[in-house]
Formats: sequence, structure tokens, C-alpha cells
Amino acid sequence: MSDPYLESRFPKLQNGGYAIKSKRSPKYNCIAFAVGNEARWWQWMPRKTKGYYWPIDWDNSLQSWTEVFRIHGYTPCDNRDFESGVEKIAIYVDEDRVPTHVAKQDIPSGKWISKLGKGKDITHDTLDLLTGYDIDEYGKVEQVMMRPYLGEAEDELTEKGAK
Amino acid sequence: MEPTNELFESEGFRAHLFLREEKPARWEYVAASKLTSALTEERLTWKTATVAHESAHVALPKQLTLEFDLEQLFESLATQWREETEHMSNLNKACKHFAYQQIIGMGKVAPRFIVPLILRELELRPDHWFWALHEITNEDPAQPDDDFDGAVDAWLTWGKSYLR
Repeated sequence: MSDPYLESRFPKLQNGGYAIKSKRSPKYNCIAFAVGNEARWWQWMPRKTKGYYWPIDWDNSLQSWTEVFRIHGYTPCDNRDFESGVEKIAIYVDEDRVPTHVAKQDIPSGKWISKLGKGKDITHDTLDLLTGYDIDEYGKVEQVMMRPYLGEAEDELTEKGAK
Repeated sequence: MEPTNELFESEGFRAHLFLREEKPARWEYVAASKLTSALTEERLTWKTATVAHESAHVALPKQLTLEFDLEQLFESLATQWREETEHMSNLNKACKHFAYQQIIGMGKVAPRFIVPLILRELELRPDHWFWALHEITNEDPAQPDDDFDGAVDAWLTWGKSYLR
């Protein structure tokens, strides 16, 4: 089912494959969604404003976001294609290399799944469908990371990471 | 068509001659307000007339009324912020949005007026107003482990004593 509003904010979705998977929610964001902990909005805040979770005491840089995924078992890689036994995330950045979004590769479909800010969860066929700089797009993909697919063991690891 | 008399070679006179001699049928029906548009279809040199004609139809800048309403301005900024940051995954960027920053600025100048508006907005349409409230009031009543709902509740509870 198409979403005209979403397509107006991410124009590449008009000609690309995507599907809406949830209602909007301001309670969690893309990192929480990618890590599998949707109880919190994962965000570093300059004044440590409460209501958010960030597992390290770093700033809002790409290195900080990368570190969050590193402690969840991910390592940098160059290949964004689907590979058996491996799950991947992709970090988008804006023109200033400030992180804007994270998408996670779905297993076994090989498509990507994203929580769009305070908006909806979607699956999208390619990472490119959310790239661009004109409206709400997330810039470009700067960093892809991978880890062995852990299945159910992933949940335990995530819970430890969130505590 | 060349002008018949150089003494009268004004834009208006050339238009008159053109329409009378070459477009008589059109002359009868072309409304005055559309005259210059009709002319520019035929003569590129009359483009300036189009500009003048169109300028009369440009809406005047929206002016604030004398009954300038701070609450109305807040609602306008809040709506703009909510709509333009809906898909921002990085909240640091969303909170740097100019509408959000303007609300913080207004709040620092008039906290007793703006904070209740933010709290009302938080109650009606729960959203990430925590940073703005923290910046304006230098308070942060939520607990370190609070999630979004917990922070909303903490601020609304705090607001009850603030509004007394």
C-alpha cells in the first residue's frame, strides 16, 4: 500500500519498492529499531536531557554512532549486498557527515528496514531509496557494518546492551 | 507589422495598432487585464508589459495584525517543527530546527507564557519537547531511566506545580 505523504517526503519511494510496517511513534528511533530495543529513543543529548538512552558518553558524531553498533557486535564492512549468515546496518550522513539515519538489513529477504524518525517503520528494497538532500531524505550512506546473524541470541545481547 | 508613425511608437500605441489591424476579432473579447499577455504571444519586445501586468497580481506580504498573538505564533512554529522534523531520526538535528530554537528563545524571554503552551502541546500531542523545556527552565524532572512516556509524565507532573 502506497503512502502519498511519505512519497512526497522521500521522492525516490515513488518508483521504488517499499512497504509500511507500523504506525508512527515518537517513542523510539532508527537506532533503537536497528538494535532491537524499541522501548527507548536512542539519542545522545548535549545537556543529558532525560528521556533518552545512549550507551556511551560520546557526542553525536559518526564515530559515536559507529561505536554504539560496535559494542553490539558489528564491524565495518564495504559490501552492502545481502550475505548468508550475516546481518548488516547502514548509517546515513548529511553533507556535514552528521549521522542522520540507520537502516538494517532484513533477514532473509535482504531488503532494508527503517524507522523513519518519529514516523513509521518501513521496508525498502534498496538503501538508495532514502538518499538525497532535498526534503526529508537522509543524505548518503557513509558506513555499512556487519555481524554474524545471531537469531534469538541477538535479543539477549541487545538487552545487555540497553541496561 | 511595423509602426506607421514613429512619433507614436509607444508600447500602448503599437498594441492598439496590432490588435486593431491584425487581431480584430480578438480585440473585442480580450479583457483589459489580459491584454499584455495576448500581446506577448506576438511580440517578444513587449515582455516588459507582461511583467508589469503580472506584478499587479502578486499577493501583498502577509502582515501581522495589531492584535499580534504570541499563542498563535507558538502554535504556528510548533506545527511547522512537528511537520518538518517528522522523519528526522537524529533528534539533535530536529532540536536545532529554527522553529524549535525560536520557541526556546521565546521561552527564555517569557517563560511564564511559553512553558504552559509547551506543556499543553506535550499533553495534547506528545512529542520531544523535553530539550526545549530543559533549556528554558533549567529543570529536568524525569528520571535517568525514564523512557518517552515516563519523561512526558514527569514534565506534566512538574508542570502542575509550575503553573500554580
